[in-house]
Formats: sequence, structure tokens, C-alpha cells
Amino acid sequence: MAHTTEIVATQKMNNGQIAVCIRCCNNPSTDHWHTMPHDVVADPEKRKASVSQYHDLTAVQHANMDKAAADLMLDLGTDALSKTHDI
Amino acid sequence: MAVNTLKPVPRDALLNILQAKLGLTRDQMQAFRELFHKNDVILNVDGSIKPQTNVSGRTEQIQTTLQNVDSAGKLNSLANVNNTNTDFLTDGTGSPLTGGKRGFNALDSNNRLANSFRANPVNVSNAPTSSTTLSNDGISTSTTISAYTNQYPPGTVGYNSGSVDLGSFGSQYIYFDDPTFAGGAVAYAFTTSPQVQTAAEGRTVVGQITTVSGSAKTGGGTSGGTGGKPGGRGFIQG
Repeated sequence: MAHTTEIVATQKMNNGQIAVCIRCCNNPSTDHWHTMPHDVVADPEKRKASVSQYHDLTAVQHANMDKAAADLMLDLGTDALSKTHDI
Repeated sequence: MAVNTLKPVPRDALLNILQAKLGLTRDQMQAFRELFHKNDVILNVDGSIKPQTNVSGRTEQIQTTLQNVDSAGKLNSLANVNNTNTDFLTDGTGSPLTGGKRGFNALDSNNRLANSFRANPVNVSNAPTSSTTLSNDGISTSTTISAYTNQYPPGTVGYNSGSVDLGSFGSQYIYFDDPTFAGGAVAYAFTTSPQVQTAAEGRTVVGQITTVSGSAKTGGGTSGGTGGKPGGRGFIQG
């Protein structure tokens, strides 16, 4: 399954650092904030390099979330629907 | 049954004289009778209103209606208020109503905070539930904060992953501001100054890490990892 990440928000923090919010597949639960100092932000090459790896990380995390949820559903499907307790 | 129990003064003799002298019609006589009746049961000679009369539509005499109103037109006691809902009051100087409501919500019966989520995060003990939360690969100058959960006295709060880029390798303290313990996605910040960790009421410390070019490091959490110090507050390092 393909995952698409995008920057959905930016924030100038009160310490002068700049943060960008990376979101995968338009799902807010995947939001990952990446914070950079202003000198990294001001340099396009440094900024791109800084942010790029976290686009990848956010997509990987989302894929892992989906897989974990799918595995859990499979496990639930194999359990008995009811269980008798001899107490 | 009439509320006003006063009786008009009999004036038939006077009315008969008026009718004879003035040649009044029946309707005119009736108008005079009604005038005398109203004056007798409502007004005193000095023009004041008799206490036995009543406001139209009310079932009590006016002396009952006004018994709790003083000469300045003010209610003489708050005990004489039917609806004591303070939502109808305008808050006064110092906002006692607003403050009282906040106190009711935030304090328990012992006048202490109902729970630590009513305090400011910078003052609340908390411990990460992970042994480490920070990682750096020794190649990039960025530090990754893995998604983690903080244990606070009233319960746990989960935070999304994040990352910070110091721009160079070195020591950094990583923190975030979450004044209401909302959790979720927060913008992590970094500093090289230890005092910044306690420079805001909503601040929580994730931990410290010293990144080194060519060597992967971890930090934060309860153990401080391979190259840092633990996060949280008020617990013994694990």
C-alpha cells in the first residue's frame, strides 16, 4: 500500500525554532513534528535534508500501525467467540 | 374571592343628590359610583395606596408583594430570593464567581488540587514508560523522539513521535510544552541550556542526549540510554 506524507502545519516556536508537522495519508494520528533551528530552515539544502528522513519515518510508522492493526484483527478472528469459565 | 377585602363607603344618598341636581344619566351615575368605589378601596386621603389592594392579576395584597422591598426599592435580604442560581448574577470585581467555579472544579474537599492534572506540568512528577526515548544514528544531526507514554500521578498520557535537528552534533536537552496534558502530537524543542527545561509552566522534559558523529546514541526515557540522561521528573533513574 502506498503512503503519502505531506507537511500540514508549521509553527514558529517561542525560542525561535521552526517546527513542521508531517502527516501521512491525511491521518492526524500520524502527525510527527520536526523542529529545526532557523539557520537550518534558512538553508534550502539543509532544510530539505533535515525534513526528508522524517517524511520516510512518518510513512514507515503509519505502515507499521496499519500492519499491527491488521495482525490484531487476524488474531481476534481466530479466537473462540465465547469461553466457559468453570469457577 | 377578591384579594382586596376593603368595602366602599355607602354613597347612595350623595349620588341621589347629584343625580337630582345635575340631571345625570344612568351611565354618568355609574361612572361616579365606579370612581368612588376605586378611591375607597385603593387610595388613602393622602393619595397613598392602601396596603390591602393588589396589582391586577396577582393573588396577594400589595403589602405582601412589597414586604421584602425596602424604602430604596432594594430587596432587603438575599434570603428572599426564589432562584439562587448564580448564573444570573454579573460577576464582581476580582471575578469571585468565576474564581469560585474554578476552585470548585480544581480543588478537593481538603482544599488541595483534585488531581495533578490540575497542576502545571513543570511541577508534576512524571516518568516515561520506556527505557529510552531519544535516538541519533551518528550520521544525521537530527534526534528522533520515539512515540512514548508518560506516567503522571492521575494516569498516563501518550505522545506522538517527533524529531529535532540541532544542526550539529553535541549535547541537547529535549522538551515540549503541553499545558493541559492533552498528549498526542507535540512540537518538541531543544536547548543546550539546562535552565530552559523549567522556563515555562507547561513544560515537560523528554531527556538529554549527546550526539556524536559516527556513533549512534540513545537518551531520555528512564535509563538515559547510551549517550544521555533520563527524562521525566521526580523519580529514581531506572
